[in-house]
Amino acid sequence: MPRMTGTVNCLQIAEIAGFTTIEDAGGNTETFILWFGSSIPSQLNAFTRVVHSMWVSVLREAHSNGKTVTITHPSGSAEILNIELG
Amino acid sequence: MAGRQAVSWAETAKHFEESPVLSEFARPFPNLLGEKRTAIGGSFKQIAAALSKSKRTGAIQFTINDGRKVRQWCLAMTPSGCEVTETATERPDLEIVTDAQSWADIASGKLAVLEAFGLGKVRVCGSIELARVLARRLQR
Repeated sequence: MPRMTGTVNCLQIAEIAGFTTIEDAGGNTETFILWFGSSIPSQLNAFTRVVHSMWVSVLREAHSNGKTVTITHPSGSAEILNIELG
Repeated sequence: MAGRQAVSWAETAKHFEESPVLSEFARPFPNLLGEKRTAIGGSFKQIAAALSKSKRTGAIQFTINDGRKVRQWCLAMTPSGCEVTETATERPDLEIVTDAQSWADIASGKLAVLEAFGLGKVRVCGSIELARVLARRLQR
């Protein structure tokens, strides 16, 4: 699985979608999907909501303190599978 | 991820069209392919024509994987216009990465680029602002 390590440039949160933009050490940026298109809250289960909340916490921590995160995503897709802090 | 596919795009698109930062990407592009859906190279000439009057400069790269090989087109936006070449540029300001079928759907107006992105069919690297310029120009 492809991975990208960098700082958090942007974190955009809405009920319908969440995105983050990561900038690597070389100045390359990429936008990733935290969640997308779930406009009816009942269609997201509680566990998924908790995972999303934890992702946002990790990204906020990284953004606030200038720490790096590593994003894992499928090849050819911007969907986030995993976020590591530090 | 569970729940992502549960809501129709038509329903979702209404929400995105109200968003000041995402509305341009929620509407499908006009048909850039004409009758020959296989001639995807022609779509980049149409995009270059649409971008030629933009005052913005920069390089936009499209990386299209057709399953057998990866093809790349570079649109160089300069003050004198926009030129497209089937080459890779070392450091584009914006890179759109997708597969040939998804690009055919986007370029024919069947699939909104934001929907394709949300479905995990497109990656966007670089300047979102330049992507916004691209989307606005195509929808004029």
